[in-house]
Amino acid sequence: MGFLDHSTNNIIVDAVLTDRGRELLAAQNGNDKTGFKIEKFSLSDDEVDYTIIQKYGRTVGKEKIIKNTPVFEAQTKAYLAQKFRMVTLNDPLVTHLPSLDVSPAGILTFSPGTPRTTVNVKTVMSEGRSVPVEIVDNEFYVILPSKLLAIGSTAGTSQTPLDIDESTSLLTATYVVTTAVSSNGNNTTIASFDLTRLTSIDSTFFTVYGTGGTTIKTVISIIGADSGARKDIPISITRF
Amino acid sequence: MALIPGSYKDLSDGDTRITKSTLNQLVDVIQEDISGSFTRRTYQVFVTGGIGPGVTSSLFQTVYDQDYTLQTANPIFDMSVGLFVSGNTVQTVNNGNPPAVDSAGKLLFPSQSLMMREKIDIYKQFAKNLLGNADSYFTSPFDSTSDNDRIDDALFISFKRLFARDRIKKETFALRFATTGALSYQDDSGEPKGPTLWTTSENTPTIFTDIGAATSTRRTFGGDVADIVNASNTNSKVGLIFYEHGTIILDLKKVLSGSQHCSGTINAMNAISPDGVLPVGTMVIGQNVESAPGVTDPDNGIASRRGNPRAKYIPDLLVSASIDDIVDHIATTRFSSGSLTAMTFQNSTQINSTLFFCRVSADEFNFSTNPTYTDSNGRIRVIDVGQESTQRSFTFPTTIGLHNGQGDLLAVAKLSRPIEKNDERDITFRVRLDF
Repeated sequence: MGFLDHSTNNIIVDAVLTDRGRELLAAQNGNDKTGFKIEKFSLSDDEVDYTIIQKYGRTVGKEKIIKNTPVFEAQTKAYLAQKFRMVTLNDPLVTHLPSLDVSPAGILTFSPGTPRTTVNVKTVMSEGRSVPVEIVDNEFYVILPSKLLAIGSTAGTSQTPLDIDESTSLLTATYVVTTAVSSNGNNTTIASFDLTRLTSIDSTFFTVYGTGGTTIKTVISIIGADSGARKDIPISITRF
Repeated sequence: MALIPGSYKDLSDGDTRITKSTLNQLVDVIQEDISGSFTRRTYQVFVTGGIGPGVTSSLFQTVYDQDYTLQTANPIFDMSVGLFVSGNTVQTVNNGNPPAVDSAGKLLFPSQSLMMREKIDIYKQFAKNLLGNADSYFTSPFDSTSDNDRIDDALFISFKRLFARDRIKKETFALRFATTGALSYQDDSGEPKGPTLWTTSENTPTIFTDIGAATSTRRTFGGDVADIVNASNTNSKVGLIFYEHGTIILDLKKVLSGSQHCSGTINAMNAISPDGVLPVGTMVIGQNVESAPGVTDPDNGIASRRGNPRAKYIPDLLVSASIDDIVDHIATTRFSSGSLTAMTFQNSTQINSTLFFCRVSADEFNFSTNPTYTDSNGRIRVIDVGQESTQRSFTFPTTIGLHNGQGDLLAVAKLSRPIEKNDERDITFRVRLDF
C-alpha cells in the first residue's frame, strides 16, 4: 500500500468503499440501520505517533507530525481500516485514559496438554484515578481467528460470536464479553473468558499457517467497547 | 458492529449532498497496436465447406493495447466490415442486379465472392442497432438523401466500454489513415511487380476527425451522431461517429482509393494451388497472368489459375476476400506500424457523487485511542506535566470512516496529511463517495 501525495492541499477527500460496504451495496439491503445507508462518521489516526509531542514539545512536535507523517492510502478491509479511533469526551480536563491489563501476560500458549486458557482482562488507571464515567467499559470485544480459536464459557460451551467476517481467511470473529465492576473501584471493570483452541485444526492449518509446520502464531485483540482501549495478545498454538 | 460509542457522530440530512460531474480521459491508440498481429485478436468462427480446405475467418477482430495473450492486455476496439445489401458493391457481384434469393430467403452469390452474406449481416446488425432498422443504410452526411452519400461499404470501429466509457466526447476524435495503398506495377510502371496487398502504405496519411460536431450533431435512434470529415477539407464527409455507442463508421469508398489496383494472395475456396507454390485454399488477385510463372491446371489445362489481374480494392477485394483478409489489409497497411498515434479521442464518464459534510465541532474528537496517545501510566502525552490547567488535549486525524446505523464501516477516506483537531477548532471534512 502506497503513501498519499501530501503536496496538495485537498479540500475534498475521496472515499473508497470497504469490502463490507460493497457487500451491503450488493445485498441491496433496504434497512436503514443495517443496510448501505451512511448515517454516521468517525475519525482515526492510525499513522500518528504522539510520542513525537513528548520528544519535541508541543510546538515543534505538532509541526513534525503534520509535515513528517506520511499517510497510507485507504485500506478497504473494514476490520483493518480504522485501528485507533478518535473519541469525544464531555470532560475536556481528562488527562489520563484507561488501558487494558491482561493476564496471563505475554504469549498465550496452547500446547497439546493445554487446549484452554482463562484470560483475565481489566481496565486500569494509574495513580488511583477514576475512569471517566462516559468511557467505563461495560463490555469488551474480543476479535480472534474463528477457525483456530473460540471463546467458551467455563462450563465448556462455546459462546456465539457477535459477528464473523467471512471475507477473511481464518474467519475473523468478534465476541462480546460482559464486564463486572472491579473491586479496585475507580470505575474500573474486569472480565474473564476461556479461550479454547479448536480441535478441528488439522495438519493442513499447521502447514499453511504454521511455522515449520508445528506452531501457529497468531494474535487476538481485546478492545474496550466504550473506552476504545486496545490490547493485542500474541498466541502460539503447538501442533497436537 | 458499533465499537466505542463516543467515536461516532451522526450525519444529519443536511450533511449529505448528491452531485454529478464528468470525468474525461484521453485515449491514444498507437499504430503498431492496430497493425501488429500479436495485438489484434481474431476469432475463427466462420468456416466454409465444400471446395478445398475451406476458409476460416472472424466476423470481427479486436485490437488490444498489448499482446492479447497476456492477462494484462486490454481490448481497445473491434473492427469489421459490412456491405449494404442494395449497395453498388453487392450489386456489382451480380452484374448490377440485386442478389438472387433461394426459397428459404437466403441470398445467393457467385463463387468469386466470399462471406457476402456475413458482410451484409454485419451491416444490418449495425443498422438495426444504430438506425433502428436493419434494412436501412448509413449516409455521410448523416441526413443526406443523395445516393452518392450512401455508405455501401462500411468499416466499423466499435470502441470497448473500457475506453469509450459513457460516451466519446465531441470534437475529440481523430484518425490517421492512409487512403492510398502501396503502389503496384499496374499503378505505376516504376513500381515493383510484387504483390501490394500486405505492404504498408508509405503515402502521407489523411487525418479524419469529427470537427464541427459540437455545432452539428443529431440525436437519433442510436444516440448522438455526427459526421467524420477530412481534417484538411471539412466539406468532405467520410463517415459517422455515434458518441454513446462509441462506434465509428467509415465509408470505405471515401477513405480508400477504391479504384486503385490491388494484388496479393487471399484465402479462397480453392482446391488447387494458384501457382503451384502457394498452398491450396488461396487465390491470387490482381497479378498479371503474363508476368507470373504459370502452371497448367491438371483439370482444365488452362495455364493460369489466378484471379482477376485488374483487381481493385473496391469492389474486388471487398467481394472476394474474407472479413479477416479485408480487416488484415486495412489494419496492417493503412494505419502504418510505428509508435505514433493512429486514433485518439477523449471519453466521458458521468460521476455521481455523494458529498458528506463531516462537521466536527470544537469539543469533539479531541481524544484518541491510539496506543501512543498515552504513556505507560495512561497519561495523555500531548498535555505537559504541570500544565493540566491550561493545556487541552488535541489529536491528528488522518482517516475518516463512514458507517451505517449499526456502525459497519462502509467507506474510508484518507487525508493527505494529519490535521490538528483541538478544542479551539471546528473542522468540516467534505468526503466524496463516487458511484
